[in-house]
Amino acid sequence: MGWNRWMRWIRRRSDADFAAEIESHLALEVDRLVQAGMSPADARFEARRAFGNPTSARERFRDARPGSTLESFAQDVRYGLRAMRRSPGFTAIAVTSLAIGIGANTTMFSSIDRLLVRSPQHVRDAERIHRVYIANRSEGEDTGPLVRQSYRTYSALRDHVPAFESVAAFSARSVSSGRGTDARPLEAVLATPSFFTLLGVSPVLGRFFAPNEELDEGEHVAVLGYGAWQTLFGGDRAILGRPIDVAGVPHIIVGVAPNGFTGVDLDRVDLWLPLGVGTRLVGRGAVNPRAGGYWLEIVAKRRMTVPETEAASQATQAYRDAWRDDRRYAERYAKNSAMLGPVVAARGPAASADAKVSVWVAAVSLLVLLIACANVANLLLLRGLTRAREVALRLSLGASRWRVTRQWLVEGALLAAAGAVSAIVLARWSASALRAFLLPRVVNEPVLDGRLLAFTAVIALGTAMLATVIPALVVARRDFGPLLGAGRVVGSQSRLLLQRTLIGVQVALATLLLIGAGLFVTSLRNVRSIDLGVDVDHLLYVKVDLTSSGKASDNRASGASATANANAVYMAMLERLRRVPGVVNATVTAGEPLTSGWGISLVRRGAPPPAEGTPVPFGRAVGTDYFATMGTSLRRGRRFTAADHVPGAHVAIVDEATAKHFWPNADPLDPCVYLDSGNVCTQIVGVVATTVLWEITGDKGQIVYVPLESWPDREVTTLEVRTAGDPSAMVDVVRQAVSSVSPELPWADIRPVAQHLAPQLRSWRLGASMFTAFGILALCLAAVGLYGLVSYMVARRSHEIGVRKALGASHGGIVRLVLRGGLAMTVIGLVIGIVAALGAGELIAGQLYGVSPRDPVVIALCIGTLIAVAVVACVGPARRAARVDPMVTLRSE
Amino acid sequence: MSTRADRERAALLQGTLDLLVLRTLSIGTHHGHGIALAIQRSSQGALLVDHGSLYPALQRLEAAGWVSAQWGVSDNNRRARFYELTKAGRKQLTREAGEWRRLTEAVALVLGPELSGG
Repeated sequence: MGWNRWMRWIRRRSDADFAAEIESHLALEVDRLVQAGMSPADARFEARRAFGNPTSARERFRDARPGSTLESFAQDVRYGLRAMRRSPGFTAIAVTSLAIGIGANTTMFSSIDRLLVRSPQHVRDAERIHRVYIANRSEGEDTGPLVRQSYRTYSALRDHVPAFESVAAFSARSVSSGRGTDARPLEAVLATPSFFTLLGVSPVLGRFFAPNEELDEGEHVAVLGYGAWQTLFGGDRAILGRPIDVAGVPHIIVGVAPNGFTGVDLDRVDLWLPLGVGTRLVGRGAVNPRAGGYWLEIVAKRRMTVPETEAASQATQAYRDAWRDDRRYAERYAKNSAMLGPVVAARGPAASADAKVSVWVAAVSLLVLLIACANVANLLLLRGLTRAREVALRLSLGASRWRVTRQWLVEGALLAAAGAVSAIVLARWSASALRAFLLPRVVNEPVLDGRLLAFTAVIALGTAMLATVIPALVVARRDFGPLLGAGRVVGSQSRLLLQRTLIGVQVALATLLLIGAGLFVTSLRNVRSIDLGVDVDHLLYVKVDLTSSGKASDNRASGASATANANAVYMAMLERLRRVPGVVNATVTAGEPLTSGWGISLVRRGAPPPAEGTPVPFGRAVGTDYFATMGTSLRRGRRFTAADHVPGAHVAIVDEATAKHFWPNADPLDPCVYLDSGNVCTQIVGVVATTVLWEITGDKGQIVYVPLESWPDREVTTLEVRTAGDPSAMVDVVRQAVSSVSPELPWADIRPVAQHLAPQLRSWRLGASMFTAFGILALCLAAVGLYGLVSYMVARRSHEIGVRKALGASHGGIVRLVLRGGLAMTVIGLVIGIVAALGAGELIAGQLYGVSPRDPVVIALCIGTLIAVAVVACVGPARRAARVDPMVTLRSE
Repeated sequence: MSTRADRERAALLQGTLDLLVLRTLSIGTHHGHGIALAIQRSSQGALLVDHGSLYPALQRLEAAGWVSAQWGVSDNNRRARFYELTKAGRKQLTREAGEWRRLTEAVALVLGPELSGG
């Protein structure tokens, strides 16, 4: 409304003023008529007759007055609120339905928005910033895009791709800061100086890294994350120039990153470090352009004028050129190509399973909303039928159809608004719970932000329209004339086709959700029942980074002695832990089981050396009691004994997969194999169960176990502890025991293995729990809808039922009659739902494990559940129908 | 409640009533009753103004800002609300009158001389 209209609305006339004008008119007319010779009484009558209906004129005055729309809207709202109060049962069901539907979407939006929609904070020109992946097609295998690259690939892309304005590399890892009781873990990101300029972020204090600090060759520097600055240093502005300990080496703080800056990922970052620190934390060759591991993620900023495909092909060329002169890799990598993905990882080619499942669940939440809409539409329609007399009355009293229709829309909007408010209350809890589950390490921020509220408002508005448009149209079109005469609502000609259809739609959607729930629950069960070969339920990993500072040294001798020292500390911790009550067994390993391993060649005596490039088994150097601690069972031969855990013992244990591969027709307890290209005989003393290598659902075997003591250059990285009870309850006890070994230890990372594996199970758990929750909600909504419709039909047909009973229909016959009516709708919806599920099956197959998207058991269970629920929903009304007294209904005619 | 006949009469007056009111007020201020009489008189009794429709129409014109009103006293000492054409109202009158003339001329052309004569 414009300013002028507001002013006029404020200065508008009152009803009384208008009435006075009409009175004045009538008086003037009477004067005129009297003057013309009429008697005063006749004149008054004639004046009134000529004027018509003053009330109607006043009505029209109100409508013509500025702001009348606003006023009649307020009236509609008042009327709607009164209608809601008058039927609390209807209101409760409708609002609850909508709250569930809207709440489900609000909950999902909060995570989806963070995961998929929004660019990371403080990132500018996000549309030109790409993550660079390598599509791996070496050896004909397609393992999907590789996320992590070597420093060599990074420097090639940086130096030889003109299409890129800037290229940066980064890698996230936990580091220990401080010693002894001051030790704490920090989430660090190692990044090139170009990372910050590329993203266009500026520090709140100090500076980011200078180009010459990339390799960490001069003074050690660090930039604090905003959160860490606040919690560790109380936001002290004099922090610049002070040192912070990073894995035993002091770094000078040169800047503080802005609040909420987490790079291009979403996880919290406490500390930013130059990429070169990787030399200490990752390995000696980490930032060597000629060597190094695959540990870097690469982002690149495309020049404005270059299209994405052109940039990708240039990057591919640079990548292949970089490896061309490498004897080992030139051929393998020649078929690989660079891929550019969006800066939001979940939208890219290497999206996590969590992100994919989240999108599914979000789609599902939309289905729940549709079901809720159908439910409310149906309730409104049914109520429309019972309120038909009221509508007819209002129309006959002069209300326009638009006005009556609008009344309906306003009531729908009120219901949706109440639903939205409840949904937001609900989402405060459910959205934070979902975020904590799905994005556990994301910077903590309030769930209820403007975007969420705006989204909820839009969804609520759409819901209101969707749920009320059909009932409103029905009201607008229907001929209410005949209703006015009759004393009660006579059975209308329509056979409630619309209502039946809506119920069918609800059942069909609920069927889809239940089948989805069944498939995800089955997948989760299948994944859980995978035999890992390791008993993870009572297992703790203890990791203390003892050697980071040692690796910095270029002096190999001092590196070796650092390894020896670290191993000695681990052994001391192991001895201490074995005496802790509640600890059943403990051992140490070089490399973390289920996470790391190194390739080890195995050659049988007399066999030719394997061709270059053939896969080799993984080696694992283990301490005493390894197999008992890990719960890996022995299949043949024996475990390592104390006699094997000495330097120079040449024994090994293989898993069944290795045994099968190398000794397909022979005894794997071979007295002589050559390990790691050595020429000393190693004896295979036992065969153990095959275990998974890295991922629960990933490859199994082949692993060759060797005693740690016989491979002295392998440094211990992990302690494994088997506990009698719940391992998470033992974390504090274990920490005390570990730290009692030395007061100068860095932070010990102590975690139950189950927790370590949880992220791998997350997508199935998410799918199973959300599909089940939404499926149950959908089922309840459909059941409520069905109950409402069948109840209404029974009430409407009570006369017919009375007649049937009078003609001798049995109690059971009537119950069957009603049940048949309800089940017919259910079965039609069920069939449509199943057909849709069979059609959509292929889409979801990729997110499932060990179950076909058309699994007959799941579909059968879903059918059974739905039929059972439908029967329960119909049984109440059916029994009420059977209790109808024929005498009462017949007499009332 | 409006009957069918009512609606037809309203349709006849739709738009034209506004024009007639504006035209009447362009000569001088009037109260509602006076406007009705003036229209009747100047059409030589051919146009009867529905008193019940007149006031909502005046209200509409006032809301549009084409007329302004204030309470005063009539010739025979009755309190009445007097209407006056505003500047915007005068412009609107010129526009509407022009449109009306064009319309009637066009209709007359279509009807032709023999019909209009007969």
